Amino acid sequence: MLARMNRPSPGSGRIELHLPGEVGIWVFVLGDMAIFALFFAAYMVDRSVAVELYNASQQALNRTFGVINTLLLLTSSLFVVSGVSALRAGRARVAQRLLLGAMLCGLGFAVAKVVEYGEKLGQDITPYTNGFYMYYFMLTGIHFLHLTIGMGVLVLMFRAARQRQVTDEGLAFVECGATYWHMVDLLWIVLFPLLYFVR
Amino acid sequence: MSAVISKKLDGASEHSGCCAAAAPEYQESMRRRQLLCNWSGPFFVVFFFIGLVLFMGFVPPQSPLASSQQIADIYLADLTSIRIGIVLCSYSVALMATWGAALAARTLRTEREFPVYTYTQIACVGVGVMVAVFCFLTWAVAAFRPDDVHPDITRMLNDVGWFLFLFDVAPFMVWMVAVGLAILGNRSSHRLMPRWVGYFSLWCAVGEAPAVLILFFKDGAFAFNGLVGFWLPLVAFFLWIMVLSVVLHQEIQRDAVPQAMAGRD
Amino acid sequence: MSSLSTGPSIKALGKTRIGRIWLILVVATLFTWHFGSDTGDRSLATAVVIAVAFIKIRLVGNYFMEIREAPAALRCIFEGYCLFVCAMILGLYFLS
Repeated sequence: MLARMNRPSPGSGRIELHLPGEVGIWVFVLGDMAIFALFFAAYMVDRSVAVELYNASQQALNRTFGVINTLLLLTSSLFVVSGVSALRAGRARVAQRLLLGAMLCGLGFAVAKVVEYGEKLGQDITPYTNGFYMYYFMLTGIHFLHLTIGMGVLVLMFRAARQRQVTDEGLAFVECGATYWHMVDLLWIVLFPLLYFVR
Repeated sequence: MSAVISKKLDGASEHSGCCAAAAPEYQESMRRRQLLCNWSGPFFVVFFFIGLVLFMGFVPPQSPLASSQQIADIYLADLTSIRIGIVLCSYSVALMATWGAALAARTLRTEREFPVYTYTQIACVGVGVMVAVFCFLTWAVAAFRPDDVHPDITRMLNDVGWFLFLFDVAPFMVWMVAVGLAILGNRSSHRLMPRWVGYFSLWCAVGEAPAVLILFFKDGAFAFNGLVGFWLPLVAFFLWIMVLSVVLHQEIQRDAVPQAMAGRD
Repeated sequence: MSSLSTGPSIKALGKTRIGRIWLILVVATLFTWHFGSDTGDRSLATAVVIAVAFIKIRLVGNYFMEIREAPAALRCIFEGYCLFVCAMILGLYFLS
């Protein structure tokens, strides 16, 4: 259905319709977004039969962690966007540094998440405590898994940007990886208010 | 990117190599053989669901919270029907082997010298068939004499069946990833499958992943009767078989088109 | 762009479109933190916080993932996704 779109040829002057990377990555990204939509629905449905319990449990969450993690992911996305445009402009060294910045933000997210989990487990709050915490740990855990895969993808993107000559294929890989990383950001942006603020 | 792909397609016409020289009868027999094996995929899915849903009545699964007596009663109520369903399923899952072979044969063509992704698929299909046969074997034992053994035993066998059904997704995930990487990494002169199918396979692998969570929960979305524990992996796996069967069918048919035309997109 | 790598300043960020989008996203996050923690009208706070979240993912999709410049089919699917999931969450919230 979606025809393969080519990048606008440099110097053509007008912006044509295009997709970063290739169309196929969107099968994965939209599919994953659909799975998370399912998670959101399951959470809201189960919440609706135990509103009091969910509201009370949510109070124990430390919102500061949620905010810090959101800001870290937003910043990492900014680094990735800038990195991709630097690479498109042929400035591979700048792109490498920006991708490193994105990796650092991702690492920061992981550290904050582990500290947050540790704090909860220290208070004897586990996925078995109640329905809310089951969702809290599982949804953030599955998201964390996506982030970990994303960190691996960022490393591969960094390697692609370090090639002596960045090929079309290398650039397409970096763009696909960037799309995946933004998806990790996007899913967190929904998870964050859902778990921390919907009361 | 598109340049790479168009180069690959051009290459296909000049690289007809070994097969073009072969007799047309041979090529036709190869095409039919592949189509036959590929059709075993949809047949597997259809007979599997007839057995599992219509005869066994195991969709949706029983609750992990059900008591031993409740589980034993389920078996006792429909014993013959459940037994027929188990036999149907246990035959149909073996068709995974033929379908997996049809798929692996296509990737083999693109990695002739070092067919690592092909070997991975073969290994995973072998393990997958064994696991699936064991799954229905376990339920068969549960349905063998539920009137004579303690209900706890029936429930345990029933649980083992569900764990064989859902928990061991890992080899199936590796299978899907191997197919995905074979498609996305194809740099040979042969067509394999459209690149989106590669991403689709990776997505199906991700969809299968949460099935392992059934170990941790007996209630809710992540239990073996839940949305994430049961439905998501089930849909991801069978959607993968169906979509790849359709694409594979088209690819096998395209081989019959004269090479000069097959090169054009 | 190179100013980003050496030392990002708010001023430099404000000069690029993507930087401005990032600033909006950060402000929206801080707003969510402030407004969502409010103990007043919970229904209002939830509705606003969820609406803001979907405005944020539209910004991420359209500007970071470049869906804005993508073929119409993908744009429709993405906007449809945002609308559907947002309506679903709010619908289930107000039904309970």
